[in-house]
Amino acid sequence: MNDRDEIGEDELQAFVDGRLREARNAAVLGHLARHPGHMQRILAYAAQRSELRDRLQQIELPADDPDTLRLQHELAERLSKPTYRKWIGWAAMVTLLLGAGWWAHALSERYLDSPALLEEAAQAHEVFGEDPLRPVELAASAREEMAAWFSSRLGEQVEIPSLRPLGFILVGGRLLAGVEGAVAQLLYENGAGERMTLCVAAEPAENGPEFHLIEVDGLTAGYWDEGDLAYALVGETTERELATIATALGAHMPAGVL
Amino acid sequence: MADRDLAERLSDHIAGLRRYAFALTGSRLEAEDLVQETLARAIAGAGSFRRSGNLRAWLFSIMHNAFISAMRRRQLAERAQNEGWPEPVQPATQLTRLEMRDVLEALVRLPEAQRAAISLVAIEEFTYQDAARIMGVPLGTLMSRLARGREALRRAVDSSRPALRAVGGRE
Repeated sequence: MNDRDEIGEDELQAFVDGRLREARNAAVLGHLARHPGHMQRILAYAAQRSELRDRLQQIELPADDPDTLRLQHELAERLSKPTYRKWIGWAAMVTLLLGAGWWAHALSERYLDSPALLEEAAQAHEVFGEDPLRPVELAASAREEMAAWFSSRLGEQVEIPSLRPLGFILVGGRLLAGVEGAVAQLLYENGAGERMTLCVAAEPAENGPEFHLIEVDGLTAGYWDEGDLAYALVGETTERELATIATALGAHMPAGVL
Repeated sequence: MADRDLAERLSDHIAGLRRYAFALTGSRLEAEDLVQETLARAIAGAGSFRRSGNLRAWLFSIMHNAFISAMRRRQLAERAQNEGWPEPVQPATQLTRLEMRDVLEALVRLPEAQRAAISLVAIEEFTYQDAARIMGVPLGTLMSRLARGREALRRAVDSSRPALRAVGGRE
């Protein structure tokens, strides 16, 4: 086995999609010849790829909805006006930007590479963290049951951390449906009634154990990975306090965060 | 007077968007709604689109965002109403007219993120970089979603075809 034999999963996927660099073709073919199991899998993916395309071709998706056509013409009009920005005038421009705000905002947030889990944690905090009546599905007293439930739904061992030494008491938890699968939400509260949401999901470690601090919709938030779990922490608190709690939970604090 | 070239390209892109919307929602009706929502958002944001930019990727990222936010809204609303223990987490969409055990049916049952990765890469043939940008995730995340999605799809289709599996031993 030399270095050239190291074929990663990405290259196998690229092979399926016909996006492998020419120079790597022979190496991948050689690898597949030596690993019949991989060969079988890759052939199945290739078959799946063309089957999917065929099946979608067969689905009839009519293109004559009058509302869609109207919107399509309108968009074509808008896009084909090269001097649009110039003649529209400042006042109109401001209105336009406000209208477009949702998507400029959505994109800028996404392009910051903050994981979906962070957004989910922020939304969960806004919806449930502020709910005085029914903020959780399982109360703190059911800690063990909660850990078992979360672990089985996430497919990874999930522990329910205690933040008591930092002044935050567990209120309870609930399970949410995230983009990547199940998300465990834990809600904590301090003596002043301030609440903090910790979300845990089983995602591949892409972000690393380093703590990333971000502000989302006026909330202080941060995220990090540990092992096979991804964490997001959200609260109406100071950056310092959030970072302290994250550190207690196992995040690595990079120099200069605070 | 929209220029003809642009209008034609837009028609092509919308056919692709409709396909992507169907793969995401699994329903013709919801797909058309999603297409319309996407176009409405694109009209609102047209001023921010650069003429030299990639129109197709721009439209797909608008659709992707529109889908994700609609899905979150729905999930949160369901959660908020839900008393007692939650239902198992699974895609809410159902394919009604497709045959069971179909590869497309299996696709629609995958988690949204994997479904999107497979659709953008394998069906719409975006480059990995463009697909990652549309989904707003790093390249590595896209690749792992693609790999996990394909494997899940293979297992789903495999397990529905027991007759084909009995032949031969495991590697």
